[in-house]
Amino acid sequence: MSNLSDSELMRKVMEKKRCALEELYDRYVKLVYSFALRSARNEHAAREIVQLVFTRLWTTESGFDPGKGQFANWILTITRNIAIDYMRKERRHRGAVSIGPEQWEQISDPSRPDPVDIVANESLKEGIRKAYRHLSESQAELIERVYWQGYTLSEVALMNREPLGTVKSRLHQSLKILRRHLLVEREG
Amino acid sequence: MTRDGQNVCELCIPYLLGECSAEEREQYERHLRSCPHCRREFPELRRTWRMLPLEMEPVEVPADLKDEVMNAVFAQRAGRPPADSFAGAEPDGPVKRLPAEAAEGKKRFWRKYGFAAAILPLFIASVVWNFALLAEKGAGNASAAPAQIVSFKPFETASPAFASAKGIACILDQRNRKKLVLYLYNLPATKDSEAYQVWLMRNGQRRNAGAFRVGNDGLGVLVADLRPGEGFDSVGVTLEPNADGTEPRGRKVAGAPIRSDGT
Repeated sequence: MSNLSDSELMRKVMEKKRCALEELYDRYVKLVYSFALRSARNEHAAREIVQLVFTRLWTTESGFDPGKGQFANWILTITRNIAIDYMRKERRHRGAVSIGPEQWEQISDPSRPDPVDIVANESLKEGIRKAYRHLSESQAELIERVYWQGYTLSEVALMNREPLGTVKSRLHQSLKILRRHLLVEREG
Repeated sequence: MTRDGQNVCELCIPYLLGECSAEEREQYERHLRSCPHCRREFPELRRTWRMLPLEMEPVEVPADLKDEVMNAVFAQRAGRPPADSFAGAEPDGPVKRLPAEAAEGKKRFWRKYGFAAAILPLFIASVVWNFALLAEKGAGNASAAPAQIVSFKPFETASPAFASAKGIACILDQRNRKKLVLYLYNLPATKDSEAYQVWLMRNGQRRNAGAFRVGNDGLGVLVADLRPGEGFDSVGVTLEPNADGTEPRGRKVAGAPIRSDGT
């Protein structure tokens, strides 16, 4: 199993080969668990999220399409969706946007598979941490709320008592700042 | 390129987050094919969005987790209920309205709490504003279904530090979904990461219902969806160092004896 690619393993998972799921677990649990813990900030919740992610891999009927990007991105998207669903239920907020792996399909651009190697690229990790330092407190908090905690823009607008448009444009600005500093890092 | 006075380019963030209605999604996808600005901008935004997780620190995974996960996954095969039966499921089911309780609640309210009557117009304005926001996000469903007030209770402050705070807790029924809406004013403004957290209480158990922040005007609003089967006897508000607590840690601010039997 250990010499198979991620997508070959995923095909075997869909054929209900247990050892393939165990191999994927060994390869990706650190990524999934780190994400879940960063998102939920609670070990018990992180453990449950990991369990839900691997259950989803085992039961998915749509599978992974390597033509649309890297497996690591796909599993991270699933992890984030499940983590957000989990936290929204914890917060008693309605899961107004219940998102599944299919959303990944929606926002993927099949003609341009994402070249970012999200797991191994240490310089990118360093770059994004440095770029984060250029965000203001309110920009960093917005990313925390929306990306990591899964609040919708409308919920953030309500909680901060700001117009929705203000929240939208602040998120847009925050992403632009990160992008600009990432580019500087990579070129510099 | 306007739609209800809004630039379609501005849909890029809701589209990126999956917060568009189906109609808006189609509209933006069409737009994306023809707008040179969005064709450049959107892929860059999406790429940056996808790089956000790189900020996290890798952590060691507990050694016992693998057995726990694998046992749970393969237990399902043997016919037990799936562990993620909730994943992707609609969290809210139909909820019955309680018109009698609503009427009684209103009577008691008007009899006993004159002060709250003064802020009721503000409260209603805020509820309308809340639903306008929600409608803006969705496909207009929220505005099409008026919310009914099922019950409401004034807050009582819990310590002298918050003596001037006033407010109402209210349960709304909108299209058979129940929502808890809190509206408080004269609250001290939150500083830095401070937040007011809201707790649903029953039998000494507290459950986090969400958090809100307060600016210099002292106004605080929270809207939380209630799930069937999870009743509570009162609602409490605490001032916390941040919005992430799973247990109350900070000072008690106010409470309201509003209850829901979870039906």
